[in-house]
Amino acid sequence: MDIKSQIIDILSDQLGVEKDKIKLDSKIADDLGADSLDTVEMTQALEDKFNVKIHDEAIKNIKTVNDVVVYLTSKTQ
Amino acid sequence: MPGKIFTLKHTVYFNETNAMGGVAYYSNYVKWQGMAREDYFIKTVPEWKIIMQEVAKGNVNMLTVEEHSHFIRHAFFGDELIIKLQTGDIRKYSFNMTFEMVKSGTDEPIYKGWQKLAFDDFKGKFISIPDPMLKSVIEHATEEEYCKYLKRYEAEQLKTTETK
Repeated sequence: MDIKSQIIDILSDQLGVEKDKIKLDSKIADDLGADSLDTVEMTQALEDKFNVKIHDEAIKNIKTVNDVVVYLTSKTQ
Repeated sequence: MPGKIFTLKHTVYFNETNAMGGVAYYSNYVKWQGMAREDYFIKTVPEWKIIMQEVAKGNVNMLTVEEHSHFIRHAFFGDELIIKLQTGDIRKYSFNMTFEMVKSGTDEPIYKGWQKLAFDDFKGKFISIPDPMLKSVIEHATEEEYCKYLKRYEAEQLKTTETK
């Protein structure tokens, strides 16, 4: 499974949003409804899945699903 | 093993009813959620007093971040209610408590509700569910929610097992 699909799986599970509603340009807070707790749970799940540390500064800059994909692609290559 | 149901009995008192036919006032159902929740912690988490000491020291704060209520039937003065509590949606920093209330001697729910609990350090940084509490939370999850929990944290559990 490619990295984008894996990320969408995690976002769907963590945020309770159907996978087909999650697009690359979806805004995690505004479109997918993530609050501060969701963001922390989601970050932890992504860190566990990809075995990386997502720093607080990076989290502040992540607004869309594409931002997550770009960030994790750079960390895992 | 998961699947346990915690129950609390409660009799509806005059001061919990309203002026419209003596039915239990809606906000009391949330109060009863809170009573059942506290009784659950006291009776099912043996280390509850230690956790409360950590709360007093300012290290652990338990937050109610969401609450939902669905009122199905009236309760009246003198009714004996059975409040059933189970857990679900268990994550790293939060879990849900689900509540179902029936009148004693019946199986018909008069109320269903749930709340989401999370933990932080009093400074806004979320922290993991305290381990002694997590054990009880897992035991009181429904089978379905327990399976979801296992699936969600399978990778992490494997890592933990490998490092032991």
